[in-house]
Amino acid sequence: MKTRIIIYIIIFAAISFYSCEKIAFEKKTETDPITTFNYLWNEVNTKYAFLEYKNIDWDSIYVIYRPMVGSDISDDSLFNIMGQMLNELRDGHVNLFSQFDISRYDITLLGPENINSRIVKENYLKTDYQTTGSFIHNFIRDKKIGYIIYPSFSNSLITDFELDYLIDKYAETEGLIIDIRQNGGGYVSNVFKLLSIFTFTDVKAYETQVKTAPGQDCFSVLEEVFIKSEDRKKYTGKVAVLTDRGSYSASSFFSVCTYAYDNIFLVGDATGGGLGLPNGGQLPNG
Amino acid sequence: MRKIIFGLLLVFSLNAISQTEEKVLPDIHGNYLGIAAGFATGTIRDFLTSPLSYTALMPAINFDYKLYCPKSIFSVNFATIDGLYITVTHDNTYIATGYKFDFDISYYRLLEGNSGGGLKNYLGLSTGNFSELYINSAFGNASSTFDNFTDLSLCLKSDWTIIKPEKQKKFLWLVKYKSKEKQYLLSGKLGVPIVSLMYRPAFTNPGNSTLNDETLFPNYSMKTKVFSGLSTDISISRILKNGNMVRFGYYWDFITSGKNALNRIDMSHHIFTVGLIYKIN
Repeated sequence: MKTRIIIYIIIFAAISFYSCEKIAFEKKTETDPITTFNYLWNEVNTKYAFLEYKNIDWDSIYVIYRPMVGSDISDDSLFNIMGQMLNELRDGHVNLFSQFDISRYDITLLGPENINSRIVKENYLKTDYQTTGSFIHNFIRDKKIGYIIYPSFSNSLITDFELDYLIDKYAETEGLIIDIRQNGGGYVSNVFKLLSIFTFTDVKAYETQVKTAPGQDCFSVLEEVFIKSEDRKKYTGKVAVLTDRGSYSASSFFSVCTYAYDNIFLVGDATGGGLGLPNGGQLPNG
Repeated sequence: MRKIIFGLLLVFSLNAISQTEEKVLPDIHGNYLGIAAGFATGTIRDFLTSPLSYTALMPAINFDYKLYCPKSIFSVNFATIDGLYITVTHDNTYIATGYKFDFDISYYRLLEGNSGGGLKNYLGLSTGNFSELYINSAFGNASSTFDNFTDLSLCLKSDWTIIKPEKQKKFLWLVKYKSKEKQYLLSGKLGVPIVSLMYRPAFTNPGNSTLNDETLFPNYSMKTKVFSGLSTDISISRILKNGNMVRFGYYWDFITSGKNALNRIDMSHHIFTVGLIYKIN
C-alpha cells in the first residue's frame, strides 16, 4: 500500500513538473497568412541591417503590402506578395524559399555583363588553357601576363596545391589578371585564402559589425578583419582584378579587400554588392 | 566493430545480472558504474530562426559513476542524444539534426533529520554543461546553431529502498511457486538551475552555413539567466544479490532563455532509459 502511494506521488509530481514546461514555453504560433506576413515584415524590420543605410521606410512598405494579404489568400499569392515586398530591399542576398519557387532580386540586371565568354576564349584563354580547381587560366601577351578566371567562390575550398601551382606557373610574369566578372560569390574563406598569396604581412582588410538588437542603430562594435599572411609561396607582381555587376557577395568582399593592397587594382564596373552576411530563418507556415 | 561492441555489451550485461547465492541483501554503498540506453523525445523552439516547434526523436546513451557513502553521494554523469528534430506544416515536413552532449557532476549530502527506515533524503549541488549542435537546412545561412549551457543547480534527491518480501504465488491459478525476496531502489531527483550561463547567437545568426572561421560565431554571446528551467530524474532499480542493479529511468528537463530574451530558446527533453549499474567494489 505504502509503495503504491509513493508511486502515485511520483507520477503526480512528474505530471505537475511537465505542466511547468507548458507554462514557461511560448504558446504555439498561428500559421495563417496574415500572421505569416506580419512575422516576415517584423523579422526584416528588426534584423535587416541596411534599412537606414538604404533609406528604406519599412513602415510605409507595410502599409502598401499588408492590405494585399487576406486570411483566405492562396499560398502562391502570399508568396508573390511577400517576394515583392522583400524586393523593396534591393538586395540580392534576400530570398524567400517555398516548395514551388524562390523569390529573388536579380542584381545582374542592374548593369551590363561586360563579358563575352566567346571573346575571352578565342582571344585570351585560347584552346590550351588549364583548369586547376575552380581556376581557369593561361598566359597572354607572350607569357608576360597570367590570365586567371575565377568563376565562383562556392565551387570548392581553394587548396594549397592549387595556389602553389598557379604561383609556380606565373612566377616569372609581369602581372596577373584575376577575372571575377559574373562571379556570384560563395565561401568567404576563399577570399582570404586567395588574397594571402599577395602579402608577406597580415593586412587589415575591412571592419565589420553585426546587428545586436531590434533598433535600427543597434550594432556591435566595429571589429577589424585581417587577411593573414600564411607561410606559403607568394606572387609579387602586379594584379588587376576585373569586376562587373555580376561580381557579387564574396566577389564584392574580394574587391573591397584589394583596396588594402598596393599591388592590386580593380578594373571594370561597380560590383553588385552583397557585403552583408546573410541571416536565415523559417516562417510560421514553414 | 559491431561484433566487438555487441560482445562487450553482452559480457558486461551478463556479468552485471549474474546472481550469487548470498542470502543477505546487499546495502547500497561504494562505487557504481552505470551504462544506460534508451529513447529521447522533447521539443526545441529557437526563436532566432523559427517560430515553429520541432519535436525530437533521438536515441540516448548515458554513462555514469556514483560513489555512495553513508552520508553523501557523489556522481558524475555523461549523456549523449543525437538524432532528428521534426516539424510538420500544412504542406511539408522539415527535418533537422541535433547532436547533444551533457556532462554534470553532483554532490548530495544526507538530510539525517528527514531520513529514516528505507528512505534517505539528500540535498545537493550539481554543476553541468550541456552543448548542442543544431543543423537545419531550412534556415538557409543560419542552418548551423551551436548552443552551450552551463548551470549550477540546487538538487533535492530521495532514495527509497523497498523490500518486497518472499511470497507464495500461483502461476495461472494452478502452479504454486515461491517468489523470492526482492529489493528495489526508488529514486527521485528534482533540480533547479539557480544560475545558468548561456552561450548562443545573441540576436542574429549570420553566415553559419559555411562553417568557416570567418563566419562562424560572429554574433554569439554569453548571457546569465537565473532559474532557467527545471529537471527531474525518476528511476526504479532492481537491486540484484551481487550488488548490481537493473535501472529503468525517466529524465525530464526544460530550459528557457526567458520570454524577454532577444535570443529566446525553449527546449525540453524526455528521456526513457534502461540500464545496468555495476558495483565495482
